[in-house]
Amino acid sequence: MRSQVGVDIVWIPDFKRKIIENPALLDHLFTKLETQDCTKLNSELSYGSLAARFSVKESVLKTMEIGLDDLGGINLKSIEVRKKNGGAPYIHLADDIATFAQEMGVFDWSVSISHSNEYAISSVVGNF
Amino acid sequence: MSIQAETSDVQKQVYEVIKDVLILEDEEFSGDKSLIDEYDAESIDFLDVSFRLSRMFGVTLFRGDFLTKALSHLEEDFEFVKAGLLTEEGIALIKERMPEAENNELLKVGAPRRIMSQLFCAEVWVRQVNELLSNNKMTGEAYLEKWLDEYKARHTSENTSS
Repeated sequence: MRSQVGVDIVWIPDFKRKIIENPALLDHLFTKLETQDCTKLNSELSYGSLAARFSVKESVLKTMEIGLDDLGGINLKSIEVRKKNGGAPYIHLADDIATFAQEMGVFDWSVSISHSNEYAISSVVGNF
Repeated sequence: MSIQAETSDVQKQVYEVIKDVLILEDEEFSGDKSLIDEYDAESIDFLDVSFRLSRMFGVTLFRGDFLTKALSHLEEDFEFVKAGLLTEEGIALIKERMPEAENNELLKVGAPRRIMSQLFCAEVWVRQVNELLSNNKMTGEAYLEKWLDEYKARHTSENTSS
């Protein structure tokens, strides 16, 4: 077995600005479940949590060595960050990206995310 | 409206979207500069621009890296990349498909194929939008396949006749 790691960091103020200026981007990047998980009790979005999920999507791509120039070709909603009962995140892949991961031989993912007021980071490990 | 005026209009709108996304002033923006190297564009910026342009012009831009598409589409006919590095055929293909990058110093035989993203400038988007608009809003995927088939026909006949 071998493992490959991917990490990513997102500057939250810039990420938040992009979503506010272009709300349709939210639906373009995140599944309903993700948006729901990132909505606070007062119905406001937690941009830190959303940025962390975006960061995970990028980390997953890095793990599989899919680069920036391939990004347009990937439906990022196919990489979904879900939460276990205890709240820990895990990765669920669908569609083409799931097939690609399967072809590459990735059988398991580990993910860790964190964010402050300004930055969201993630670390993803793919086990082959 | 003349084709030239329409083209110029597309350029203006594409430039506005990119400047808006990257928060650039008119005087610091140039359509032929690398969005990554000169303006620190990140992946979400590319997604944002691509998404906005698709909605603005009602087109489906090609999703992905055209070199990857070319490799899978024409792998039996050309060797564009060898051991992850661009070959002479690869450079010729990129120059023909991305004339905006023709004079970019990064574009040379033996360069890693990852330089593709660094070649991306605003004019690439202008060209892509214009291509789709002038082809009855054919999808980017279909247009690129057509373009690659034509490329193969052009270069195969050149090789045969030489």
